[in-house]
Amino acid sequence: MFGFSSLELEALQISLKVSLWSVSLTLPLAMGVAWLLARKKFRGKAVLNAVIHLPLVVPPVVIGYLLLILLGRKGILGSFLNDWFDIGLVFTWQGAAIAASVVAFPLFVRPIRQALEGVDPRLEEAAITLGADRRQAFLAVTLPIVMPGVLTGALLFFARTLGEFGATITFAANIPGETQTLPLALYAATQAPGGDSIALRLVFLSLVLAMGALLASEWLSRKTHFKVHGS
Amino acid sequence: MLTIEAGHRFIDGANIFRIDASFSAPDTGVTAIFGRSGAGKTTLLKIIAGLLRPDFVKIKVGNTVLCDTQNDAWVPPEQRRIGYVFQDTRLFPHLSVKGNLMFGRRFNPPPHSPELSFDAIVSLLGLERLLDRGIHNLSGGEGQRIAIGRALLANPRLLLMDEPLAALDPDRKSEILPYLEGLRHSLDLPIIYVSHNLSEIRRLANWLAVLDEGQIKAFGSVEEITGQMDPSSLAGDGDTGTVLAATVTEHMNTHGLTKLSAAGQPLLVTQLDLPPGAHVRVELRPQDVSLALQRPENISVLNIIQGSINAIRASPKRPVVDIQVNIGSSKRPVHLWARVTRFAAERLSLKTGMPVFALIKAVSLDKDRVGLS
Repeated sequence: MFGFSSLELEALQISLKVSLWSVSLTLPLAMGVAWLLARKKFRGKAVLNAVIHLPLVVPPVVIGYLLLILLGRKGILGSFLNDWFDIGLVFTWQGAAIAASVVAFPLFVRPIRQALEGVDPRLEEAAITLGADRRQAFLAVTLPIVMPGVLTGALLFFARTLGEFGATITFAANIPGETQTLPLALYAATQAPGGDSIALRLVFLSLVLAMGALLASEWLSRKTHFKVHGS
Repeated sequence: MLTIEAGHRFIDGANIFRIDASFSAPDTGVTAIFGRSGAGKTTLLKIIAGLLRPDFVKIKVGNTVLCDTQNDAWVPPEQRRIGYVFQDTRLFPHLSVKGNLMFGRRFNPPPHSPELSFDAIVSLLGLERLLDRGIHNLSGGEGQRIAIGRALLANPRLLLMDEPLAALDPDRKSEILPYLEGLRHSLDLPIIYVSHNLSEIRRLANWLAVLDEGQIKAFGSVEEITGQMDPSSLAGDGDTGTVLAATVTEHMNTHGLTKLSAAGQPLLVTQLDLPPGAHVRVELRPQDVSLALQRPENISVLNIIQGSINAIRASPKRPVVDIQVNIGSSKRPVHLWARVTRFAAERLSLKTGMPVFALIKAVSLDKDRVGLS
């Protein structure tokens, strides 16, 4: 197809798999954290906020290495997972998804949090006087209003996980057919003699994917924003 | 009966605010809660709706006890079916007008009476042309009508309205008042209406509770309370005054006047579009009432009502004096208030018990001051 080799298409497929799984598994967590930060007052809120934003300022390699320490076969949590559930995350695409998710997490939380902060909590109060309980009030009022923020967050997050390199190569390594995403394949191609044409095709794939995600994000958020805010 | 009893202490730093309010009103009709800002009106409404859980509360609507903290009875707010119209409308921005109106339908039992059907409410509030619109770019009056419709369509057993007109300019107010009057006449639903505008209360309410510093200072019919309480304590964001009950007796078409009977005495007002026998309410501003010791002759004032001074409210700080005049009998007193300068009161040596004549110009009693009760 378009002269792409099976290795390149495999990298594309792994990238999509890693990113899509990341989005769907991180979504509830991002919602929960955004809600805590936007609506609740608690001790250690500033610390939680800082920890979440850490990946924005720390080199991804550092995140990858921390993940190795935490989730590696001999890691604090990793050895427990390995011994009790026979789950190994290092060198697997699931590991790549975790690494990418941690790095991109702040991009997911921020837009949702901002959207939640923009919703008047008294609207839920109004919903309650109309017969909705707290859960129904959130689902029927707050959630639809913050939907543009959720979509923006999801797509920013998706695009960021597509491009993740440092944490992924450190924690999940660069294994063709398992953890070799587009950027990792591109890196490999630039290291191999005569890999220029492969590299160019991978660059093209990456750009198309990222542009597609950003345009979709823009379009979706404008559409939902119009519905919610009317302008 | 609608019974409300609430007690709560709020501690905010060194300040303690205490709500200690109770009243019982008939099941139908509008009970106005009048009070200055900070009197605890909104807090009381939130307690009734269940949005605030106070130290002590008992609420009974008809035969249903919604909460009684002494007997551990507590119906959560979403199950109370108490409609709440907020001052700031709080319409849902992601829904159309129709979506807002229908919001409460799925959470509540369908209404028994046809007056609360979707079509009936939409036409009562004049919302037909707005249904498919979003809630942005609505006028304040439209937004408030939608908020009222939304509350009514949730099939409430009691409707709370928190100064629904306070945020509107005078034009919008007069646009929406007829809808509220329509609501009062066509729905068999108790309404608690918070306001600090006596004209609104005269037009809409049957009963009046005066709330001050968290306490109900007076409760009774609007006529009774406005006759009893001195006008300065009922001064809100509009005119203060007395509300008199009257009946249309005849029209004087050639003069463009209508003759009413109030407390057995004739009262001429500018012509009304109401049949003889209609019960009306007249809002008398105390500054529109003059007093004379003898019946004046050769004077343009058409209404000269005999009465006697019942009370005088003077304060050295104010240049005016409020004088309560009983124009009924001693057995069935009907009170109105006149406001004169302290200088005038001293010159006439006005004293409690003195017979006086209250002078009221018919032109001061126009359509804005007289309406159906």
